[in-house]
Amino acid sequence: MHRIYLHPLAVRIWHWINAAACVMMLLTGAQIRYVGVINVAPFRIAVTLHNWTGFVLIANFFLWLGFYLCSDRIRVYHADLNPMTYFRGSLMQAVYYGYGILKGLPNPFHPSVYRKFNPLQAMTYQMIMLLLLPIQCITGILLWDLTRFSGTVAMLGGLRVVDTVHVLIFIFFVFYIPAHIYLGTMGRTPIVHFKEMFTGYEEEDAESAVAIERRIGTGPAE
Amino acid sequence: MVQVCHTCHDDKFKQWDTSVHAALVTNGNPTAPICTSCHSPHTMIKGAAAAMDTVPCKTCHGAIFIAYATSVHGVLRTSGVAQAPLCFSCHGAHDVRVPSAGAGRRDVCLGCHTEALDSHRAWLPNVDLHFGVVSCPVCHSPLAKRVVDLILYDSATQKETRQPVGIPRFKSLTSSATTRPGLDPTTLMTLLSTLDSQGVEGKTAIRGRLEVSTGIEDHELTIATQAISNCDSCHQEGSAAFQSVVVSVAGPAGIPIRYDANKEVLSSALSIDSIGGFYAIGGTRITFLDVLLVLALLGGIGGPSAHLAARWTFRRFLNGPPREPPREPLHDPPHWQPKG
Repeated sequence: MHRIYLHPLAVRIWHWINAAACVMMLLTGAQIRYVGVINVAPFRIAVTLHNWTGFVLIANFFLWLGFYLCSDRIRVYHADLNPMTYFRGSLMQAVYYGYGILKGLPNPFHPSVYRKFNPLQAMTYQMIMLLLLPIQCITGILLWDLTRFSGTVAMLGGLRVVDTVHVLIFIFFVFYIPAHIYLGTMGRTPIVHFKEMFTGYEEEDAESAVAIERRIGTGPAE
Repeated sequence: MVQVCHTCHDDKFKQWDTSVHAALVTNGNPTAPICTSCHSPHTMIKGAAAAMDTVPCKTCHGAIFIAYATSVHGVLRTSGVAQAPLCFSCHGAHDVRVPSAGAGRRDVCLGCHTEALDSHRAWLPNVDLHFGVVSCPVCHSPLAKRVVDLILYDSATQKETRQPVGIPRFKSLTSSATTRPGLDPTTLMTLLSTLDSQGVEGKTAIRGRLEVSTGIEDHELTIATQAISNCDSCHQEGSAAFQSVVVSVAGPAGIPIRYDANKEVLSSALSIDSIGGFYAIGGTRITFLDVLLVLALLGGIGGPSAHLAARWTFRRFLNGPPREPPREPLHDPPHWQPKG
């Protein structure tokens, strides 16, 4: 086995805070929106928890942003500028998830320090971290104090528009988080990817790992 | 008669002339009060409006006065608390106004209850928003039937839209709406676009307020400890607060003229634009988004479950014995093929 240090400490801290905060936001958000259907916490407590967790999520977002802006690891988020390469990689990964994994075929993607996301992950994470999460945070702040931000809310089309955007992204995360957890079970063993997010290391078959590192120029010469 | 009084009581006449009563007289209402309606010309009583027994308002507004007399304000006044308000305290004596127009009622209440904002801030989130959107009696007349008042206003001047005159479309839209189910989301959208096409400078928009349904209920105020302070009473689907909806324009002297609307306007996706300014989390949520959420939940849990079941089925029945892990890095499609 060969170990690759994929997830630096800052990223792991960010990830688990983000995971806990997102789950809390979903649960309290559902409680706030569906009083009467869900009756786990009183509305007022759910609102308070939602607000405070929201600020933790925003602060955590800046931890993530700050780390990547100050680190060469930001390369993991660099978009593949060759559409054909990107499309081919995405297709291969989609075919693997839809068919290859059922047939017991190996994952076509092998991560490296600067390329840890497969093409589908890269697209999804870029969309979430650079688009959906910021929009969700901004709409959340606007909804948090509608009097203070009434001008901005009106400029964006009104309270219902802002709330609808916030709820649509909430709905996306309701779909995404179970799918994300499930995809996390698709490593060599069901828990290996979760373990990586604690240790930071991904364990690769030794021969595969060496070959990969050679390919990206960080491994031993042939 | 008014002109006769005007001869000596110029200041009072000028006040009366701006009142809702004067507007009704101008509007041709035969029962609208003039000077002698409240002041008998030959038996004038000084301070008649300041005493429960002699206040003249109850002559016409009897039902409202009874509601007031049994309210916390009326009970305190009867028991001798001089600071407790009587009719003129909120409505004025000669310049009689309708506090329910715009933010008038809130301002009238806060005129005496100066600590109310701060005391609410201790427990109520978004206090300023609540005070702007929820009329005080909605919570402080806990037994009252509540109604969502969708007020048409000009976004340029921020003033309530006057009852459109000479716009046949408005009359037909609203009159057809008052027959049975009420103005529906599509009709409301059409109504707004119709008003916008009349050459007004600003866009006609809707400002929503939660009110009690009648003037009588407006006066049935109770003590603070009996007021509604439970968020769930509004912030959940099916809340009594959102079962009745009206669209209103400003009539003479600002008296709102209300047209029935279907409660579906609050939960329709078509209303995202038309009533964009009124929304109560949980209480007026858009049904279409609920459907999307159910689909997302089914997809997010059902998709992985189906995939997991497929993986198990293939491994158990279709793939044969487990394979050896690959010995080569597999980057390209040819490496996918199982080795013969």
